[in-house]
Order: sequence, then structure tokens, then C-alpha cells
Amino acid sequence: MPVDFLVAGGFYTFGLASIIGAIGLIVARNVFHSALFLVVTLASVAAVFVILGADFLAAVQVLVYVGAVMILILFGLMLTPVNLEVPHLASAGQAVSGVLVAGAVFIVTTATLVSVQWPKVVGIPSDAPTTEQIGESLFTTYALPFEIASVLLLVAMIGALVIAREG
Amino acid sequence: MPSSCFLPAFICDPFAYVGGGLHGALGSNLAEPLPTLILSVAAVAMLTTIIAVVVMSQVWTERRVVAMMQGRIGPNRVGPSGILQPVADAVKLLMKEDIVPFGADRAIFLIAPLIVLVPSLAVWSLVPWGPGLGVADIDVGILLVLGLGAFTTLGILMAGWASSNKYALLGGMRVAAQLISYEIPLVLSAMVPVLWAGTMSLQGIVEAQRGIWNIAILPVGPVAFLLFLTAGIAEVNRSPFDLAEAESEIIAGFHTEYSGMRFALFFLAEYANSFAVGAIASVLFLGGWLGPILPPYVWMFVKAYGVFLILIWVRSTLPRLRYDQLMQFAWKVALPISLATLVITAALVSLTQGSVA
Repeated sequence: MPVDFLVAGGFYTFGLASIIGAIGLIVARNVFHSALFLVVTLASVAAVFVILGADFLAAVQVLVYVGAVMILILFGLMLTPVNLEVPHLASAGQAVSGVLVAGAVFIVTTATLVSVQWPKVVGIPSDAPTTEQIGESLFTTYALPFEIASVLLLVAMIGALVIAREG
Repeated sequence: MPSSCFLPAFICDPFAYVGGGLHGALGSNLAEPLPTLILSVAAVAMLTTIIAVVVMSQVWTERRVVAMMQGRIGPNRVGPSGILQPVADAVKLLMKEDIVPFGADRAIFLIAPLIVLVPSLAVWSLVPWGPGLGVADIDVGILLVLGLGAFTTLGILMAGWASSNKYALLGGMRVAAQLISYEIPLVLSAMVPVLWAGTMSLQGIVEAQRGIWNIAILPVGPVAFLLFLTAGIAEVNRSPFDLAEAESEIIAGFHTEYSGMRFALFFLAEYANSFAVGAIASVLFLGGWLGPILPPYVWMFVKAYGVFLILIWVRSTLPRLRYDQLMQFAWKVALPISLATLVITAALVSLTQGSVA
């Protein structure tokens, strides 16, 4: 049993788990269940990151998405009754436009994935630490996007505070 | 071998001694990565057993020490000084009926205790017990430790919601709000040792304290340690931050509806987490496994248990906080102090270590 068999096996297992979670998120009629399926997806993606050697990204994925985003979503959903089923509210027109938009997104994403020349990585992903590289590039090459993202988050936070104070 | 240990190799580092031998024996018959894989599984199984034993000792210690502080005797019937009381309790819980309440969301109700327990066991695998001794030493160790704590919250939320009981739900919501609030000072105060050591690996943080323990770095060390301990107590829902299971207000909070072994799993997770907080606090601020004469794993255990004793002490000293006081403390006291500590640490690091260009 060679190492790359383990790597490939882990990759496909968690990849499949994330897809199953995503499908469950859409299919589940209970919003709390949907949220839990989303946790499955996010955690599986973190596992895929680990297998691909992106340890920092995986830890941050768990810390931010599972630790903060999902907890807040679930906190909001806690007040829904246990047996609440989402009613079928969508009209026929909404269903048609939904299919159209989803189809368009699918086509564009697939076209991008297929047309881009992805760098070919052969063998087992390196398990060298990535934290330092990410820090370096964030504060040198990508300093401007990093600053813009920070300002954007700050604006969102102040906006949330303003709305909360008015309400 | 650690230079501080003068005892024979199999006492200083018995795990490496046995593990190395086993790895050699397996390696002669099997191809990599099988020997490593088998030994990793064995290490995890051993760790789980150790956790169960340590938790039992914690339960006994806590009950006896709290009794002592309150002028009572505490459990003293089963075994000498009641030392077998936790075993008797565990056996009793194992034999109780596992009730799933009518109207509960069955699947979520059943897996919630596991979602709480597994991460609290996983944290132990990241704790460094000595130089090179630990199940996993990863580069982003401290981040993962903090991230795993989030899964515990998730399990508690699931338990509270799936029970279909308003007290359980209230307990779950309190946990969510509390953990979101205290995670920020927890992470920020944990970043102080990270900045000082220049690494997020737990082994690296311990190694960086060979000269001076992080708690002794003035003025930030003691402040960050106290903040970490406070936020850590809040993260594991222990008194005075145990509003999630405040029995005078909401029965038993999120585990109101749980019985038998599933209740015991919550209990096990809580104590495993308490010890893990002690272990991580020791690694971050008290020099981890560093110490003279005794083998490193003994030092690590003594320090972690010492911090756990502080938690017991705090529990039997302070009354439970009111909910608004809890939130006020997190956002108006702990958060500004932890931010200031972090900034001062960064300034100190750039002044003394000159690593910032």
C-alpha cells in the first residue's frame, strides 16, 4: 500500500463527502439539517486542503467557517422548531429562472475549469509548512488586495454596527 | 534525548523507546507506510485509554478538592479515599437506559455527543509530551487546537436543538453566544506566545521557552496567561462561566434530555477539554515539558494538572456570572486587553528580536 494510494484515497473520500454534503444542503427540507450538511462540506474541504499540503488554509477553514460562520448560522436557526419543514414557496416562473441561472453558473464554471491550463503536479503533495509563504506573499506581492479586503471587512463591520444601533 | 534527563532512556522517553523498537520490528516485515500507520493507530488507541484514566482521576480530584474547600468529606466509600468512585459511576452510567425523547430529532440527538467528544480527544493528540513525543506535531498546531474547539460548540448546539426541549435549547444558545465571544480573546492571547516564538507549532513554542517561560515575559506574559485561562474556562463551560448548564436556571442546559452513556460522553468530553486547556496553557505559557531532573512527559503532566487544579479552585471560589455580565466582560474587558497585549507583544518582538525589517 504505497503512500500515494493513501493520498488519493483520502482525497476522493473527502471530495465525495463534500459533494454529498452540498447535495444534502440543497435537498434537505429542514433548515437545521441543511446547515449541518454545510458543516460536512466545509469540514471535508478542510480535509482536502490537508491532503493537498495546505495546512494553514485547512486550519483557518476550520477555525473561521466551522468555528465562527457556521456557529452563527446555527445560532440563528436555533429558534426554528425541530420539525419545521420548508414549504414549497417557489412559483413556476421562479423555478424556471432558477434553473436558468444555475445552468449558466454551471456552464461558466465548467468552461473555466476546462479551459485554464492548470499547473501539473506529479506525485505526493509536499507537506512543507505553508504559513510563512502565505504571510510573505500577503505582505509583499499581494499587499494591495490584502489591504482592500481588510478595508472591505472593516466597512462591513461598521455597517453592521450602524444598522444594529438604528434598529 | 533531552539533556535535562539523567535517568535511563526507557524512563526518560518510554514511548520513543518502545515505539522505535516496534517500528523496527514491523519495518522488517512490512513496507512503508504500513508500520507508521499501524503505530499511529496504536498511539491514538493508547492516548484514548490514557484520557479515560486521566478523566477518572480528574473527576475524583475535583470532587475531593471541592469537598475539602467546602468543609465536606466528599466521596470516600468506594475504594481507599473513594478513589474508585469514578469507576463505579461510569459502570452505573453504562448500565442505564439510553433514552431518546419523543419529538427529538433522533439522528442528530444520537450523534451530538460524539461530535462533542471526538474533537476533545483529538486535541490531546496535538499536545507535545516531550521533545519529539506526541502523536502529531504540525506546523499550525495552535490554530488547529483552537479550531477543534469549535466542533465541540457545534455538537453542543446540535444537542440543544435536537432535544426539542426549551431548556436544552436555551443552554445551546447560551453556549453559542458565549463561545463566539470568548473565542476572540482566546485566539488573541494564544497569539502572544506564537509571536514570541515565531512559530505556531506547539513543539516550537515549547522549544522557544528554553531561556524564559512566556508567562515571565513582562509585561505581556502574565496578562496573556490570565486572559487565556479565563477564555479557556469559558470555552469549556466551567464555573463561573457554566451558564450553559446553570442548574438553578435551566435544569442541566443542553444535556437535560441525555441519559446513560451519552450523558457520560458529554461529561467525559468536558473533563478531557478541561485537561486539554491546562495542557495548552502549559505549552503556551509555562514552558510545556521543559523542567529539570524529571522526564519531560512528567513535567508536562504535572503542569497541565496544576492548571486543572487552578480551574477547580476558581470553580469553588467564584459564583456563576449573570449572562449580561458574561458578555460585557468578554467584549468590553477581555477583548480590548487582549488586543493591547498583542500589539505590545508585537512591538516588543520587533524591538528585542529585530526580526521585523
